[in-house]
Amino acid sequence: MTTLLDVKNLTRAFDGLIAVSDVSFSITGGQIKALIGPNGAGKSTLLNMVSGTLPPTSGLIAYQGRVISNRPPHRIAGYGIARTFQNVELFMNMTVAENVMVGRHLRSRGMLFSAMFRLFGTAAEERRVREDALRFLERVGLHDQADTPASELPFGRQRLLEIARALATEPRLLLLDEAASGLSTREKRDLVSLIYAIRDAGVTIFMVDHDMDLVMSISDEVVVLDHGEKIAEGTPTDVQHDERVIAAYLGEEAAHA
Amino acid sequence: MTEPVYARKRIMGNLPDILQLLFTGLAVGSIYAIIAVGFTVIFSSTQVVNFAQGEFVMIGALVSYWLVGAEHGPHLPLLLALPLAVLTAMFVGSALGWVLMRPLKDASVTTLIIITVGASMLMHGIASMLWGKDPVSVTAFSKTSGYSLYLPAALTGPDAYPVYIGTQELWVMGLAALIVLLLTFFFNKTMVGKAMRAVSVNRHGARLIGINVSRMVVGAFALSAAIGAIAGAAIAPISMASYGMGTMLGLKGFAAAIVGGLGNFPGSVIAGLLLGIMENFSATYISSQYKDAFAFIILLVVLVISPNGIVALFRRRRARA
Amino acid sequence: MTRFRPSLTMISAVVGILLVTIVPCFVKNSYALVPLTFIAIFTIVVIGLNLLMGYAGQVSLGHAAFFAIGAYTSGILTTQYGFSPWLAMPAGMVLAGLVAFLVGMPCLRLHGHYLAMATLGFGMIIYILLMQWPDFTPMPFERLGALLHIPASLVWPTTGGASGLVDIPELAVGPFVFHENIQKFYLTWAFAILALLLCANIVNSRVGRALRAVHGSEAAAATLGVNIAAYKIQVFVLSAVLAALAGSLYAHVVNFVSPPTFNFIRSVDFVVMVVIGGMASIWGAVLGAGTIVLLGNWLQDVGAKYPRFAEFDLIIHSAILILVMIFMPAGIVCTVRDAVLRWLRGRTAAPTQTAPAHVEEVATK
Repeated sequence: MTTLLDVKNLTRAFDGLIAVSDVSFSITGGQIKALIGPNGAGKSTLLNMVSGTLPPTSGLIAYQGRVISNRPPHRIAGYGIARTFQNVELFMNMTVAENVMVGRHLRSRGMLFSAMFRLFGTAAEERRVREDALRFLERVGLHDQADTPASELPFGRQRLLEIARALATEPRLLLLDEAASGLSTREKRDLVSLIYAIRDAGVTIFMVDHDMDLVMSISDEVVVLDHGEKIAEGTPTDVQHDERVIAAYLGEEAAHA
Repeated sequence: MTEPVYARKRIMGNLPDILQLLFTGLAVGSIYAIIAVGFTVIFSSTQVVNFAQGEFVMIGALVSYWLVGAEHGPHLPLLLALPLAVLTAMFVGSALGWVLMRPLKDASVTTLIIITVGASMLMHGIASMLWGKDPVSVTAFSKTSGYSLYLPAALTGPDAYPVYIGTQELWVMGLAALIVLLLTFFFNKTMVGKAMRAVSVNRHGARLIGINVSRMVVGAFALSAAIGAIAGAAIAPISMASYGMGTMLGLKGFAAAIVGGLGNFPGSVIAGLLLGIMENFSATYISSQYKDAFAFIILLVVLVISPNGIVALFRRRRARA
Repeated sequence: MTRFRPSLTMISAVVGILLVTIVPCFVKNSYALVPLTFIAIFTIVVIGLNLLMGYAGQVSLGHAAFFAIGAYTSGILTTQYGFSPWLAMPAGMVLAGLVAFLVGMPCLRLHGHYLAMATLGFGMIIYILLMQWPDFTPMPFERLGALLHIPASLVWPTTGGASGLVDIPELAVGPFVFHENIQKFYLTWAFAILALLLCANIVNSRVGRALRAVHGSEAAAATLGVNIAAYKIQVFVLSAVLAALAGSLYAHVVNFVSPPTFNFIRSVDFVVMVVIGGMASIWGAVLGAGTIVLLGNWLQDVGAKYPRFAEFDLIIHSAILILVMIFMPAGIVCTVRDAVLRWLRGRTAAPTQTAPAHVEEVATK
């Protein structure tokens, strides 16, 4: 398998405060890779840099051999990277189906002028976009709620909707930001099988999560961050026995106690 | 051979004109600077761009006019009227701050902008009902209206005009300098000032360390209103006072605040002074009709070139070099 | 279910056309049609501004300037260059669109208040230009005229300064001239309904969805491939073009334009109309424009009787603005509509609403 994403010496500072410091790793196509670390380790910052919502201070990110750091997020989406958000960033002013239809944005072409005058098969394209959206909703099991306002979905289903919306862009790499947080045990089990299904369909997954059991059970490789620095990388078993990882997490537990 | 001598003579002959324009421009610029500082005080503690800033200037001017010189007014001495005018503006300012409390928590920038624009129009309308639409002339702070300053004849030639130094202009500049000094002290040395700055940087964090955010927001509006009212009372004897004076002055102060870099305190003072001077010169040497448009053209140009203000442009250049 | 949205648009359009057709039957005095004509004209401006404020999340405080560009382009081209109104109208729209592109381009990439500032400054410049435009032909232009052997007045058009432009011709189709109040009424409403339909089409399209997505969450929209800056500039340009269309209609309907029609207060009034109609609601535009025009007319009558209350409309408009923005930021129409919908749904099924834990966003800087 080839390298899909390459992160090299990535650094991000906020007003002198360094959130991510000199982190390098790569993601192989077809794997499930996880990024873990104690609170404030810089996990979300790193994910935001990969998806383009936050420009890096230095270092670079390459996707399929092309440098994508410092590109705007909508371009990065066009290259085939989709993501979900830790705090669920759904379009609450739209229905479930419409949310996924926005995900088809890159796969449809209607422009302002043609939309105004309903030119050039606008209606046909609209129908096709909606059918596509329903297909993606079916994959996460939300097709029976297509016309419910997104704001009225229970929280667990909102997370699923976000995944369906991201899948609708037909990405090669899917970034999941704390996709399991706030879910019940049963919902987590469903999420795991969904993640496997997505991976089996050929999408590489890079996930950030707090849930150690979940991460260790499904990922092929794990990167561990602490205070913005990479302290370990390897298979779940390797990482679990790494002394620095244990120290970092024990330190956090001690702080919590 | 005679060319350079001739040129020098012409420039020197214009020296009184140039100094005169510089002086009056500096006075008007001081007003723009104070108003820009008023914008900055609110923006840097609440991230709100207060489109009603100019109306505080109008309140300061009209209330002090009414208290001192109006026919049916109480004819108070200036020393008493000025603080009362400032207090009135502070009251109105706090009210606006209080009104904005609720939308500040979660509303969009759009909502905040519209509310301050609405407040501006409201004050505008009320003032026109209270004081009518005609501009009124306002008594100056000092009895002496000004001094004529004759430059040495060696510099300017034998029959040059003197430079007229108006006392009210001196008052304006003095008050502006005083306000800038006091504010610098306030924000850097006092607890309350530091707390206000903390609120602007991180509202949530400020609340966590026990700063009363609501009080700070209302306080910032009151402070800013007071600054605006002083500017209004000081400029009124020069420009006359009317219900509509706040719009133009406010917008120009606002242009200065942007040119100086929104939220940048020294930047807005410098930009205000420069704007006043440049406006004055352009009115004389380019066209007096477009005098008012000048500030907005500068505003647009700055927004296009470097939306974070001229200072940011230089800073970026330096960083790149 | 799929056809639900378009059919709603259709129903609204049919109802709208019917209403517009029958209203004049109930009006005894044709003079009473004048304010209704103004409602149509302002509706066209408000639709565009509504898209801008409701979907792009940006405020324009200078839309009177684009309105002016349309009106003055029509006025100047028809009275001084002998253009047909039907050619002057698109010319003004193109000019307004270009200017909007230049003004909006640098600002729309930035935080919400920059466009408000830029448009405000722009509005002031246009107003001052209209007022102070020199009547005489400046020297270089006079030379140019002499060089090309054409009168200087053709090289240097005039805005008429404070007294404005008069005798702007009416729109006409062949020998038929839109001259009577009732003809102008139907003409402007035809344009207004067309504009409403076209914009309703946008809202229910890929572009409209992208815009609504930007409104819902900019971060998420961008990561789905929506080029936010590009959409914002498109909406801003569209809103300017619509304002210019309305301005052109105004010029040909009133036959006279002068600067006070296009001052800062007018720009604010447009914003008030949007706010009343509800942001992000196309059909609310009619209501917003209607309320302000009729209210303004009534207040003007009051002001004529009691001169001291002449500025009363300003106070009322601004009070409405503040109160609506504080208590119903979505606008009156949207708030009422949502309340009704919630009430209807509450009767059929218990809501399954589970609000996501809303984490207070801490500013990073």
